[in-house]
Amino acid sequence: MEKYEKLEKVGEGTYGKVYKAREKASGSLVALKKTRLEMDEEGVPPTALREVSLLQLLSQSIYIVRLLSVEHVDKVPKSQKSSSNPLTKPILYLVFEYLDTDLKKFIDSHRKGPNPRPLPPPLIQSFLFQLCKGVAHCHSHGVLHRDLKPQNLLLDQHKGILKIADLGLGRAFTVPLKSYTHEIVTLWYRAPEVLLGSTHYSTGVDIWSVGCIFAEMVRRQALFPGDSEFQQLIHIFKMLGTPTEENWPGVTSLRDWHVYPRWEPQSLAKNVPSLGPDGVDLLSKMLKYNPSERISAKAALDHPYFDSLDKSQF
Amino acid sequence: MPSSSTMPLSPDPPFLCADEAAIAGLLDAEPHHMPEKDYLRRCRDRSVDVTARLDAVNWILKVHAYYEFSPVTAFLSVNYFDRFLSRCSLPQQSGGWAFQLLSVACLSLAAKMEESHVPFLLDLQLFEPKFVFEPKTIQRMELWVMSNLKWRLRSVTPFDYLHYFISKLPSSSSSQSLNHFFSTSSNLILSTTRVINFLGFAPSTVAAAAVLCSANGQLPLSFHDRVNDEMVRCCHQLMEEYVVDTCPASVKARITEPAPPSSPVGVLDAATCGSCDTPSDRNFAGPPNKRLRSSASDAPQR
Repeated sequence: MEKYEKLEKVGEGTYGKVYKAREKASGSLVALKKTRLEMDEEGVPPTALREVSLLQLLSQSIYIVRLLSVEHVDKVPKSQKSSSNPLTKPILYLVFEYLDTDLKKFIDSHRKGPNPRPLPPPLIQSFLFQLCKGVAHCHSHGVLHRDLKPQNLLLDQHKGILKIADLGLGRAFTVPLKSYTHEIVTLWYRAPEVLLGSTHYSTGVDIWSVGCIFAEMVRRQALFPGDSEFQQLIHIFKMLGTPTEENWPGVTSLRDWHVYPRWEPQSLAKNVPSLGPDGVDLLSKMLKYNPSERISAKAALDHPYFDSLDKSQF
Repeated sequence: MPSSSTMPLSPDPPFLCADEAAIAGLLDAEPHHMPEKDYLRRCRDRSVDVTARLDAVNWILKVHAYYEFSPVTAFLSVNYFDRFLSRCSLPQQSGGWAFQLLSVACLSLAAKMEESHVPFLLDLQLFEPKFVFEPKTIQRMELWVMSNLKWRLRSVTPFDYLHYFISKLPSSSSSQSLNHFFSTSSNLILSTTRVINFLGFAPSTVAAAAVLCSANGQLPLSFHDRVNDEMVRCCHQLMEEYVVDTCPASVKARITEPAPPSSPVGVLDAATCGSCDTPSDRNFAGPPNKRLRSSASDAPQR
């Protein structure tokens, strides 16, 4: 790791710290994601495994954060330095391209601080298009991200580029769909099928998250800010109406389905007042209750909402 | 809990109608997830310990069955094992511990990649192994395997193609026949891991041959432009010879998991169709002269 000069700590992940660093030879900035392997008595953590292997698969897309290298270091703890046969602690560093901010910080900077203002509609359109490109790339390679949220979308503000990061919860999906864990995705962006205990979810879970992120860029605040799984469902039901067997066949058979109050759907347009009709239409297609009716990332790219976007730059 | 290899299909699986672009992407990627080109030759001339390999594969399949892991997990484990051995040699005089450690590490990695619930490393070491390894030791081996495989653990496997290929069959319309084709093909694919000759075929070829076997040879017009029909025919013939024929007669029609060949020599010497001795999927060097299966004294008995 002598190749890199650590500049500052920029975050803390599940398994360790994230540093901004400079590659000494080229002077280029990188992000070092440190994975403390000694924390895990069960070998290399699955999140680290999946993240690295999926990034190896997906990193050729410009809409996925680029993994530059993986460095395996055996660190000798201070207490062992004088020993002739020291016990070393293995550390894994994932070396990524460096991006200066994320979508959460970007939205926050437009909501509070000295100069609160809406995100420019062309920028929302551009960011959403890039997000759909990245998600389509994941899905075409048989990978679900499963933890899409503004904090995991890195931005190069000057170039107007958005990249998907943090594939620690990502996983390959094979057919038949396996029973997946349902404790995934930050609550606010979690799809209703996951909240209701489905373990046979698919690409629709990512599209739901994309819809929530789209609305959040427009509103500058979360669309469904629940503080528990139950409250999260109530937020969704109050806005979109309580789902029924008619609009979502099989919903009442899901593991965690209960008899909920019957809320009528509100106007989605009223909840994203600055969004035009095409945008509202795309959002409604991303937030369909029935996962099989939800628009795919690939189809979203051809939606009329993006007609005014200069796609040649992508 | 039903084994995931026979789990019914969900109504709208993502690759059921996988688009051509996704399949093309898999076909582009698959050469990067196969053992080195000379590995099959090295297995045949015994510079790789095929006895130890077969023991390892059988152990992986037993643990896979015990924990009801998905078929992909078992296949990936063997894929990592072979890719590692094709690039690195293990100490031969280790009393077997090196191969055992490698198989535990490969199964652990595959389970972490694929399974929702992964057993503890000590619980993974079932069936009275000669050696029991500490998690720290397994972690070191995992790291060695991963760096050796250039961290490419999301291997392309035959399972990635199954639904696309099944959808090409004339009689694959009903969900019942889909389930039948899928589970039968899955069992066939898993069975190929024991037999080194299948290392000569790309995952897409193995998938197409398995689908062909499960459909009793009813051939679609073409599985895909980039899947060589001649290679599929060869692989299919090998499957009929090795895998289907090692099933007990009562279950042969259903092609459930076959009995393992009685010896690695039997695996090596079992006959292949004349035109298929040198699979061209990966330009493997041709094998040395081999006896036909029927004359192999130690070939598995039918």
